[in-house]
Amino acid sequence: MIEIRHLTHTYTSGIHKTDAIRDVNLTIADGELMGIIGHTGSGKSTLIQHLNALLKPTSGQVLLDGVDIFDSKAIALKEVRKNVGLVFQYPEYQLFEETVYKDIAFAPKNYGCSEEEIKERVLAAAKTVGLKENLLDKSPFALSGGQKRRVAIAGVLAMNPKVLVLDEPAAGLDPFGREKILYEVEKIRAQRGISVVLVSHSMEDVAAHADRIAVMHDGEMKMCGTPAEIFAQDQVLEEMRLDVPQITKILNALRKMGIAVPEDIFKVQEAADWILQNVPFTKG
Amino acid sequence: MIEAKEVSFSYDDEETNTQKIVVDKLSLTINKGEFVAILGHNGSGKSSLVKLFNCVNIPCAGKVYVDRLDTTDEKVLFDIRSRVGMVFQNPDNQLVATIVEEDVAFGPENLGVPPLEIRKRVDDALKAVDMYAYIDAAPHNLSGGQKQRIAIAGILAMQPEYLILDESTAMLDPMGRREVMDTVKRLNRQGMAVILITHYMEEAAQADRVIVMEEGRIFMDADPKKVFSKVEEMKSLRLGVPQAAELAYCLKKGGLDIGETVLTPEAFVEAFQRRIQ
Amino acid sequence: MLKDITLGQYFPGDSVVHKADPRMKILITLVFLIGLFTVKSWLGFLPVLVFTVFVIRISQVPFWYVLKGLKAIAVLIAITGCFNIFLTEGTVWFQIGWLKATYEGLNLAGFMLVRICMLIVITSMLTLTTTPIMLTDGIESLLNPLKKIKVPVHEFAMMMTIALRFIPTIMEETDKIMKAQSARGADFESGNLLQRAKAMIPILVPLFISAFRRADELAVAMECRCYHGDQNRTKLRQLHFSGIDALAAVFTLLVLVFQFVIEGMTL
Repeated sequence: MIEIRHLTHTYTSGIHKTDAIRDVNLTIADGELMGIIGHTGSGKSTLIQHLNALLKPTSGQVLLDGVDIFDSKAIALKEVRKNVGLVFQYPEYQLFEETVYKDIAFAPKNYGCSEEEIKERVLAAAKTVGLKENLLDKSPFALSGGQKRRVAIAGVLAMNPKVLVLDEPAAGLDPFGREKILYEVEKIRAQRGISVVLVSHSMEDVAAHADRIAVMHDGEMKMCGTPAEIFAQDQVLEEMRLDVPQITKILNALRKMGIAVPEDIFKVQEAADWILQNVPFTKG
Repeated sequence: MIEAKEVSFSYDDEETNTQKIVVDKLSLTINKGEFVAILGHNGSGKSSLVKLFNCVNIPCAGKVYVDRLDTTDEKVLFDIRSRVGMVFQNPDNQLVATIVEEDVAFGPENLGVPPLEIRKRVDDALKAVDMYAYIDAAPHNLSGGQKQRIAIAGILAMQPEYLILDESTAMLDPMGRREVMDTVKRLNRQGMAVILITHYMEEAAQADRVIVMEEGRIFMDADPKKVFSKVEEMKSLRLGVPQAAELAYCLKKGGLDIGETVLTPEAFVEAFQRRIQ
Repeated sequence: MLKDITLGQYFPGDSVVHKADPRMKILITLVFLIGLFTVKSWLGFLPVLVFTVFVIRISQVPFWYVLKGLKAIAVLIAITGCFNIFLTEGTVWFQIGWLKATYEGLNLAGFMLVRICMLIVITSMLTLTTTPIMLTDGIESLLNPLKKIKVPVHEFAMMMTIALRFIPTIMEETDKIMKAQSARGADFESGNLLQRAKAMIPILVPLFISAFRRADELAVAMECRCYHGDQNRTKLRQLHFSGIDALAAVFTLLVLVFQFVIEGMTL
């Protein structure tokens, strides 16, 4: 479990002081898939870099299973980073090894695992993200964009983290690639039972996959709740110029027409099924 | 008018040591002032195709003519490139200068336009993309959407007839994408032909004409409503359709036909309301 | 530490110094740098000093900002100072063990101190009041005659411009890659020299690959915008000598004359 308490981070450049994030509070339970949404510059990147202590807060705390991760007496920095795996945006740009295997093995090696254990972890991580074993001896640079990204995610998974944080894992991919990678993120959560933090600016992706959504705006956490609770407030989201998924816009309009569509429908097929069953219409 | 006549393009695949055909005997005409979106999954040949329009790729068979100029004719290379401007995916890797106005001036400078005329073109281009206030800014301090608009201004300063956007919205956040799309639509209304390659179906739905590519050929070429009514075909090509169109399609399959294809939530709600009453 | 280096930074402003022709500013800077090295007496510094203070005043760049640049080389100045004080033969000032500080050494150290500080301040003034792009334009224009003997002056200037454009981008990327590798347990701070050098590989490899990719994409983008070297190329920004530049030239000459006169009197 991760608890973020009154987290504030202030940047100083010259004489200017700006709060990148201000008094953020959030608890992410074990096994939860938490979506974080917001514009570029809303502070979501700054926030997640605190989760594995890449950034130190100006004030506030981050507790990992009750331990303050910034208290070096309580927990070593390396230990924090092992437990909270962070996958940056466009992670394929960090690959550097000669083979896919070696690249995924980089983290376990840094943590002094034995050869056997490294092998075990690499194979497990590769399997979880859907990389075939015959790719492991290839150069990561010979792979396609989507595969490279899987290698990079596997490279973080190989640490066996308790929490996995992904910044825009689907950015720049085509619709099919996006869907596939998000499906794999869900699979990671299901198979390993770990907490996953999914950062995105695509409302559609987050709505379809997250248990809860936190909305960041201007460095503050404006809302946090289930997708149903968040999308019920479409007016507020529009004001923050965040995109509400088309399906949500449609269903909200139907609700205004007096059709009581349940709040927890975010998928097109589910919506269609519900309408067909509950809205009276003449065939033809 | 851009005319592709039975054009093919291939490159050497170093790994398998074979010729890989990415554009396959394709014929196509794009008129002045049109707004065309090109869809296709990665590797369908869409990017290779548009690069044939401005001589970045040279056809291995067939011909491409831009306003009747042959793209294989070296003598008209700069003429074609100033007519067919291209904005790329990564906003960071196409801006040359350290100051916005210098960057916008880069194209006309290369074309040997007199300094006073460059000045005017730079100012006009920056106003056209609504970035005149940033004339002295440094590109690295701008947001992704702003950088792409500067890149568009850099193309406009060459006074082109056709503007190609090669996945120029892929790396932007929703706000940046909206900025770029608004700019592009405005330019199109003023007469600029726009060729938009995108992965976002909602963006393609805003075009006048959608071309769907598969295996280096044209799979579909029609107006957006027609294209997005083919939900199964689009999914089989690893593409999607806007959610509004998909919902209408699912309802139709279940016996509730709301009439014509809808592309936006508003259109869906309107058609749905009419059908229910 | 890096933040303190004002050399090479631009201080935005609208003064006559900012507006002066970059070619003139480069030439004047060169003249004064040569002038500084021909000074042999303390008084000889006076004309240049007065002129520099005057230029700083009218440039509207705060004094403290100009002097901040000196902080970065304070250590260097201190070390050379010590060498001068202790290693110059002459009348003994004080003695620590076998080390003798001499008055001559002190004099020499002071002289060097003033010379280096002036040097830094004058070159800082050039870069503080001239944008990198103007500086590049100026250098390109001044070196133009060399094109006749096939020196690739334009290409050199273009390289400069692109380098300046991409430095912030690459810096940002380096930071991101370092963070990403730290997130995988990479350690850049401990171990011996060899281990530390090896720890740089996970940063350098992605950085180089990315730089090549950027170069590739940029080259295509530049070609699409009709770049073909400096054949028939025009420029948005035209350099013009103006009245201010002529005045600056006259002032510079006067300062040089004063310097020679003063030197002549004191020697």
